[in-house]
Amino acid sequence: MNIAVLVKTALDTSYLRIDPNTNKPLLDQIPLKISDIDRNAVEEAIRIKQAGIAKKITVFSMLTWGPIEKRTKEAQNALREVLAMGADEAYIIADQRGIGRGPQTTAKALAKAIKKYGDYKLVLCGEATIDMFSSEVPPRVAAELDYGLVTFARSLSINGENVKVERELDQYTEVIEAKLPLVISVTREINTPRLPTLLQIRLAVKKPINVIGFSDLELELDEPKVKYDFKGVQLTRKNIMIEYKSIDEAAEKLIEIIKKESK
Amino acid sequence: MASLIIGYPNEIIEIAGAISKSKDHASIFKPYYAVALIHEKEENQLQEVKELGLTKLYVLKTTDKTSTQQLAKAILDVASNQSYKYIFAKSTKMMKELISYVAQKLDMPLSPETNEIIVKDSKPVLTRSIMAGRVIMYQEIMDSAAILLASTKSEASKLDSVQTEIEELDTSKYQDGSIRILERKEKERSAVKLEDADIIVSVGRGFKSKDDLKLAFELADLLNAQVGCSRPIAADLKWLPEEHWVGLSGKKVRPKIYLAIGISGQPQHIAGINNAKTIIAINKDPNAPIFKYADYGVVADLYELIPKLIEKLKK
Repeated sequence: MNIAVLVKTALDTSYLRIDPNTNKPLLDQIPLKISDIDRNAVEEAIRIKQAGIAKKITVFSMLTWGPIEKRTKEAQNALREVLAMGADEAYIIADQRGIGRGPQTTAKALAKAIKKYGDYKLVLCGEATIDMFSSEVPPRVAAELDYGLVTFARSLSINGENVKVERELDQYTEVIEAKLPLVISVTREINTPRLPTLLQIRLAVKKPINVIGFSDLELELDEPKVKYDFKGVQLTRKNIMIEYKSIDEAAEKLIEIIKKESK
Repeated sequence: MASLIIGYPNEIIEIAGAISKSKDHASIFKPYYAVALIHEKEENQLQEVKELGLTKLYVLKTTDKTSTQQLAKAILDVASNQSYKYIFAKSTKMMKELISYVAQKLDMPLSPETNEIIVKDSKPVLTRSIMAGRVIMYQEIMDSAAILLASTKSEASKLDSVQTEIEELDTSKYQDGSIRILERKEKERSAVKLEDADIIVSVGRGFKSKDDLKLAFELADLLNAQVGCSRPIAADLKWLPEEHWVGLSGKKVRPKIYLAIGISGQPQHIAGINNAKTIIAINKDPNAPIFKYADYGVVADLYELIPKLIEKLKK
């Protein structure tokens, strides 16, 4: 069995800046990084491979933020990290028409790539991405592929064609037995992603990263269904650090502030 | 044009309240249809739903063994009778899975965690907060959309004045052998209502053991506050039930004072506290990101400062 892992190179929101004149977030200037929870998905795939259940791990990543040329290079660099962890190869879907189109198009493109470049019975991904946090793409990909779907998995074990998953919803937890082929989204709690060694990082340079476009996938697009616009939220925190000589004084000052602010 | 509301009876009522807050909703969303999910263990709570003015109400009985895939099939079946421009549901994990799947099959975009529905040039514009609360995204819907609504306080409100026709759906015909639920466990609940709290004392990994949390509870008692926590405390360590969890996947809170103790300040946590009036942070590490988001910061060891606060507040 081969495993496809969906990895997003997401905006690293800790570098977010907002133009004070237009109040727009300067999205083009924010660097990309591997979306944290997707690392857990890669880790889980590696563990399955090391257990002798999977042969190959392929990472699929779709660019959703422009400018496309700059982002393609950034994504190539970022994806080295998951290849160094132990994934075997990567596909980056980089197409201007995919920018600003939303998860519906992302899912179509990812599903087409998964179908075209190999035979994958298991698709793993993070429960949500750190920039958008919509949790939409995994179910949408399952719908496109007509695979079974289990989301928010916090543990999984594979036995032949059956996958046993423990997963977490708002009100309850479930233990599910599902048959392959499947799309499974995982939460942070499922594992602790490994840090690649220097040797692995060096060896990963040889692993293939393929850049493909919508024409390679024969993906036709119709009119956009949503027009997106963004506005920044200005942070207006006071950022006052309380100075003190003794812990006694710190506590007194803090109680004063609590009294004042709770009115 | 028609809209389909999907959810448990209490969710449908909440959604109706949220929709009717938006002026002009009738002109773009009417007529309203609904699929009510009724768990076999629950009493029939449809009376209020029947009074909302829905054109048609589909009733879908569920059990502990009903999978979301099974529900998806039932909803796609309902949607094949008539085309719906808009689908409404609550923004829960289950609905994110179910409605995203359905939306892809119906070729519809989706807006999760929708805060507001604005009507502009007879088109809905949906807002939601992204990038850990630092950016508001406006989505102008060109044709159709699934809309998952964030939690709001809203009164039950009538959507229309028509009589409701009711049809029961036979859930068993949507059974799917490929996914079996072996076990379903209700999560541990606690009575805490963080959304309504004036003061929240919130705990993070700075606490070294579960037992030490009693410091926070004692402080909270003295301040008449509720206790919140960051993701690791609820999700990894399970020292507190999830009702205490503040953040993007937990509760979004708006207290007068949010007192973050031993919380480093990950963007996902900050996303849950952006609406707090005043944020106070206590952390040993002067470089903890939480200080950037705080009104007041104290660099101190919580094991020294909290007992001192408790001692002084007791006087």
